[in-house]
Amino acid sequence: MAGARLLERLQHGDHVCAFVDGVDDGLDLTAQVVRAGLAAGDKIMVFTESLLPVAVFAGLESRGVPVGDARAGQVQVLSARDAYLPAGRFEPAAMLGALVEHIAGAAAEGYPGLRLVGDMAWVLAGPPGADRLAEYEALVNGLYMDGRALGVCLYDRRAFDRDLLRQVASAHPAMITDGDGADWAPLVRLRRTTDPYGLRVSGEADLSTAHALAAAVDAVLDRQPEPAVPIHVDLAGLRFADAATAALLGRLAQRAPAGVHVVGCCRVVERVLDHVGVKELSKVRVEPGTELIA
Amino acid sequence: MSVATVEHFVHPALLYRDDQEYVAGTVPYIREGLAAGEPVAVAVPGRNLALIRDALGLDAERVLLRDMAVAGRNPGRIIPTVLLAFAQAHPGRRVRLIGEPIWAGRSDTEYPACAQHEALINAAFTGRAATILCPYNTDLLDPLWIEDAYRTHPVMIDANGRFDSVHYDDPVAVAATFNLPLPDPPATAATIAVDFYGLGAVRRFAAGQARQAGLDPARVEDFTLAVNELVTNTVRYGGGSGRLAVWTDDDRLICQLTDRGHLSDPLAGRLPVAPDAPTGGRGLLLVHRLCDFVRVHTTPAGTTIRLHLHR
Repeated sequence: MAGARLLERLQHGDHVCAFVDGVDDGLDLTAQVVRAGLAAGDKIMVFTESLLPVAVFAGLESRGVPVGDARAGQVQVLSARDAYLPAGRFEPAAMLGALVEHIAGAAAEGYPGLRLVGDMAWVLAGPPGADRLAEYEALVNGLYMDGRALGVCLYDRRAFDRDLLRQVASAHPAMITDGDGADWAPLVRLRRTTDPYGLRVSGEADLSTAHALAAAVDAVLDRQPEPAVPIHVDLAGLRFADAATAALLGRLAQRAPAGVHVVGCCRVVERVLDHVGVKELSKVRVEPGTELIA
Repeated sequence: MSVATVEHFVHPALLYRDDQEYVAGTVPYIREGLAAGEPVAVAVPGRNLALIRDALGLDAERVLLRDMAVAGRNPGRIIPTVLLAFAQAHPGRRVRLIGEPIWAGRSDTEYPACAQHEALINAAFTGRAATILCPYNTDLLDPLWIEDAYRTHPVMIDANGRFDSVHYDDPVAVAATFNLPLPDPPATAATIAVDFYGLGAVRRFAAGQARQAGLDPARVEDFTLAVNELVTNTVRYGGGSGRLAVWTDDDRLICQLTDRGHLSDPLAGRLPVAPDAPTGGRGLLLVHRLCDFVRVHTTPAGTTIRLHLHR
């Protein structure tokens, strides 16, 4: 993993579940995020549990990340426990509120964006509220999809329960493991669009990203500024969608007062929308996309 | 006539020996439905469809005519996409259909799925106001297949008239007798392990195999979609992991997935699901729609599903 610099290709809006094997592996990934963040001029916050903040800084320096050249306060390494468990318990709403402030704060300080690294090892001690982890990881997509921040969550796969890891993974639109090669990219990218208002989904939507996509759909509905206008669903970058994804979009159409306007479907996505019956819903308008020539 | 009598589902088999008996057994049945104001659909193999169309003359325009060798090539999709689709297109009305899913060209691999389909019609249409007539060619079909028709149809019609089948039995129990093991994939088949973290890799594998088999790009996508739904079911319900094998024979791309799950609902994948329903159940339905043939062998110890796509 150390040789690859896959996380340097992340964009604002991405939310990645990173499976790590131990502390050094986590530091390697953290270094990639910090290096790319510095290159982009972003603010970077690292929430650490497995190491003391000073050890994280040392690890970044030993990996050649120019943290010494950063603006004062540009790279912050903080205790994950303090961040996620402010009153000794995990409250998703409180954590989301804090992240909103961090994102706004970075913008106010003149940074183009905020990059977050969360070492999720604090969950392993089983603090109160930790059972709401997967719910939180899904909800936080509603923040990232605005495209002003990106987040990488570090999960030590040797330490976490297998079933919990699967739940948590499907709450992220992307995951990365040490088996990933040079062609890695986030499996799915979720973005909220503003003009026209709606949702943009790119990549390949399958079971492994299902909870993230469902949360993004909820988030787009929750903050719809003009319910009388159909929600714009831009699928131009979506190369694959499974039947459950099609059904999710069907439900979005039924929940949105003025339905949805789907644009940019490639052939396979249009085909699954058709077979699942989404195209025939009166609240769905599907505009044919231009077929990518393979 | 009581409401209960009007509402009930009627599922006769028509035993015919030649074209003349075929037309005599089907065309008056169709005209009777038209006269009663019932929506009528006919889904039979092309040659028989032509016989009916010619005999109906102008009335053919009032009947939905479908080539069963196309629409019902995969018997697993006949209930949702032919029979129930027609019934649901006419809510609140009694519908009349002819469905001929078993013809002389059906192979021994295909037949168990056909017989399961015939049995499960009875379960899928329980309580529905519909009549479905299923013609069987006693001259050309395996006599054992005709015997099975007596188990899957409560009523029989032959040249001498109409009678109750004394061999008719519980549809789910009869379908279960065709839940037969599938042969192992050949040793030369390409295989890949299936789990939650490998869905993308399985799609790339499936697409690569389909391209190599010479499928056109749209069918490559269909195969990929179908395989993805199967492996998604394995991950969600089938014990989380499984093994997928893909190979070809002269005219087909074949794939077989084995996992540790049990498909306990005999109607899984055979009932339409509303596009916006909050439930699952679309995966196998989509697989049935996309593939030319699907057969399932399922036990509490594990499930094997085979798909065919014509090359």
